[in-house]
Amino acid sequence: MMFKRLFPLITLKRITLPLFCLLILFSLEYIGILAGMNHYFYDLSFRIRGPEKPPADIVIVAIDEQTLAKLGRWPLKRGYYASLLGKMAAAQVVAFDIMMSEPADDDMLAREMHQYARVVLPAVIEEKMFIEYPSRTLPPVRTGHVHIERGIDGIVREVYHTLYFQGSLLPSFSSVLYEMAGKTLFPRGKPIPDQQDDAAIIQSDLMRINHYGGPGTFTRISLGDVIDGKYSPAYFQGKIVLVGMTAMGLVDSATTPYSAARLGTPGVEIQATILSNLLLGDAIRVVPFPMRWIISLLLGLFLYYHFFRTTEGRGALLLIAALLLFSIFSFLSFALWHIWCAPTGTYVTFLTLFALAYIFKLNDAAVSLGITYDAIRPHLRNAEAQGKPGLVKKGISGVLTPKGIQSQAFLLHDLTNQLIFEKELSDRILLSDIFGVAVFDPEGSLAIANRDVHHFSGANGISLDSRDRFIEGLAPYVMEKGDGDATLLQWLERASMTVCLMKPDKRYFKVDILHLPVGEKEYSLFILSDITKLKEVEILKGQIVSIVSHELKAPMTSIQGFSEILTENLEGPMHRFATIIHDESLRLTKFVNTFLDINRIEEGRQQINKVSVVLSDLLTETALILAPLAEKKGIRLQVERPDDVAPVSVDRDLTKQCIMNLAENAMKYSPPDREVTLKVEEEAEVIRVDVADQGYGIKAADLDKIFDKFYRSCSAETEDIKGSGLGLTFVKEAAEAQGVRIAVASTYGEGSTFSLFFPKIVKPTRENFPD
Amino acid sequence: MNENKRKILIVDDDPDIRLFLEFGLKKAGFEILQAANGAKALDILKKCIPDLIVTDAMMPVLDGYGLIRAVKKETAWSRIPLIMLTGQDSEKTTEGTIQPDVYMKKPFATPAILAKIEELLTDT
Repeated sequence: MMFKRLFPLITLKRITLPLFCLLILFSLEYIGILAGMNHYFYDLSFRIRGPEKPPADIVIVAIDEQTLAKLGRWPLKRGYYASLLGKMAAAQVVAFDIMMSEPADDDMLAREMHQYARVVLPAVIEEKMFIEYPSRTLPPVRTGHVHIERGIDGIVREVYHTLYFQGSLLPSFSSVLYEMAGKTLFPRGKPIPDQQDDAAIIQSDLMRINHYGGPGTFTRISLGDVIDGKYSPAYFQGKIVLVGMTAMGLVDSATTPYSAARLGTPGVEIQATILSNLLLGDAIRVVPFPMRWIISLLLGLFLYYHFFRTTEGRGALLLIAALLLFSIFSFLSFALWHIWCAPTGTYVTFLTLFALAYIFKLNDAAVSLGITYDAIRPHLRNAEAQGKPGLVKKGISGVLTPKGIQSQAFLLHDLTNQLIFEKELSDRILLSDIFGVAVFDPEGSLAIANRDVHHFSGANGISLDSRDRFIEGLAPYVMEKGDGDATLLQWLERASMTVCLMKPDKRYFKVDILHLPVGEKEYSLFILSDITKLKEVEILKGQIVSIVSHELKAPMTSIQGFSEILTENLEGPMHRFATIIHDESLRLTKFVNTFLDINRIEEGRQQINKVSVVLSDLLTETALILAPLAEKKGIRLQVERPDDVAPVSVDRDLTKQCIMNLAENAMKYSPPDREVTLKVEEEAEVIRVDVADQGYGIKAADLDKIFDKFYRSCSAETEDIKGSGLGLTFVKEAAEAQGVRIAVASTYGEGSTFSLFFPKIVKPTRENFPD
Repeated sequence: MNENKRKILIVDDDPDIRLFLEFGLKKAGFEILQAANGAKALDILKKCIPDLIVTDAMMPVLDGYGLIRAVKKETAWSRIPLIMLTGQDSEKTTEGTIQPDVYMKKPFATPAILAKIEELLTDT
């Protein structure tokens, strides 16, 4: 769990697979697959480092072409060697890298060697598996083997200082020289006992040779010149002298990192190099294989983790940087401290891990591609495309194999075609000019608008640059202005509004504002529907109503006026008829007025002036006005009111008319000698006004129709009662226009209760009215 | 006696309404002047200044609003109280700033208009 939290990108598979790959790499290096590359880098390091100056006290006395020209053909007479020893008596040690196994004219040399005693001679293990020592005619001097290890490419890099062969220890020529020159024992590994196989050579004390340069790096003087006495005996004072062949054709030469493309280095010079390495302690030390692998593994896994955390480009840069740094470090440790850390395994580790991380990322991308396809498919309208099975192989094979890529391409092509088709379809619908459409993105910029919107906005100077400016531009044309100047936010909250644009010709639009959540963002969609025809009919209707009402009112004034005069001046039945005319004209006036009131409320033309109204006072007032009517009908009109009812915010006249209508209705539909109660009551959230009667009641079937325009319930008791069927419609319209809810409860034959629910005024608190 | 009678100018294109008002107001003791439209009313005003004007809103030649504007503009007439009779559904409150002193919705009963007249005349 802890690991998962620290390294969320690393899954089990992402750990095991690279470890498995590294194990294979490890095995491959172990069996030497990478040795060639390592040797190449090793030799390259020598050449980049450049030659180093060898110690001056090691001198090579060369049997060169000049010597042979002077002293005759090879082999040289051993007397010359004796003479040589005589001239170099001051030298510390003299080593002959010349096999002297066969007896010859050895007397003089033997004498000199006896006298000199600090001589080293070579020995070799012959192909026929025996050690060839110097001739027995020479005095017993120390010997060492002159075998040097050539790599599979023939280049000399190593030497084994100790050989065990047929039960005897054969030290290397250079280690013997070292012991004699340094007067100290060469630290050899433990001898291996019980050697069974006579033909086996057991090698130990391996050393990497630190070459100083190509052939001729060491001081080389001609043997002929020494014999000729060109060098004084003092020249050899304290020197270590190696005598060997350098003449072309005779030389036992070997290739070194420096001489790879040039001449071979004579064996004697290689022996001199090895000796110098031993004396100076600057042989190349090699970082052991397991330690090298641990370093590679740690660095590799560190990089691997970072490859996941970064982009491919940066990953590649990181890889290059790591390779460069490791190379530089590896070279510096070689050049400065003579420590060689073979880099190939590390290089391959880094590359492998980078490739693995890359493949894992590719796999992730492939998987997400599959998920994307799956996510797109259900959104397509085309049923054929929806049902199409996912042709694409999910995961890496879908993006790495030609077949996989091809099927991806086909599917992508399919999806793209389908999406283009759907986009075109949507665009055509959107931009069809059946209605105006403008879409603004979450930042408020215009995303899309069709020709209609551009046309009308342009003509009326409404900016389409941004959503807010579009709303600002529309605001002056909005017809609903009931609640004064609305703020920008209020406009947005409105689901719809009506605008009247004057240019190029007068047109009415219903503007619907929708907030469309797309993904995690919210777009604003404006739909402008042309309702000019509808609005014109509505206006015409209003005009007709207005004209008719006016035309009706002039004759009504006359009828009402003159019938009033007649009632005052007539007597008997004529007086009664005139009274009927007068009453009916009053009723007609009231009908027309109520009809006009409802019309006005419905059209939103009714001005609602909200003021603070104490409902209990309003009930008392109503009762006072209706008292004569109640008395006339024999109804007991009661008012039940508590003393402290909170005021409400309503239009006083409209509310009074509502209560009046309800009370008049209650009396009208009650038989004489009954009670009508006007009651006000404060509830938790509302203030409730009940108008209750003990009248005829309403049939259950009629209850939901009584507020309909012109609807009148009929029953035996009420058939003679005159009414317009508009009174309750007015009450409902007027109540709801100012936020008051109306309800009715009735039992047929027992009476009805109409209730009005007034919202309470939100009491100002410190929070919403700070000082 | 005649000089003491208060004069009311009735302006309406409907002769029936003029007749009904004349009957009611004469009975209440007012002297009545009549005009069929605003222009004719202005002609009368030039000859005789009434104590109060009762005018219809919609009339040919010069309507009630035009008449009010003309009356209020003329210093000699500007103090005459005005009652406007209106059959319109809603009052034309937005048309100009000059308003009558009282609106009377048609149809109306004689006692109602008498009450308004008395109220206005007492104020002046």
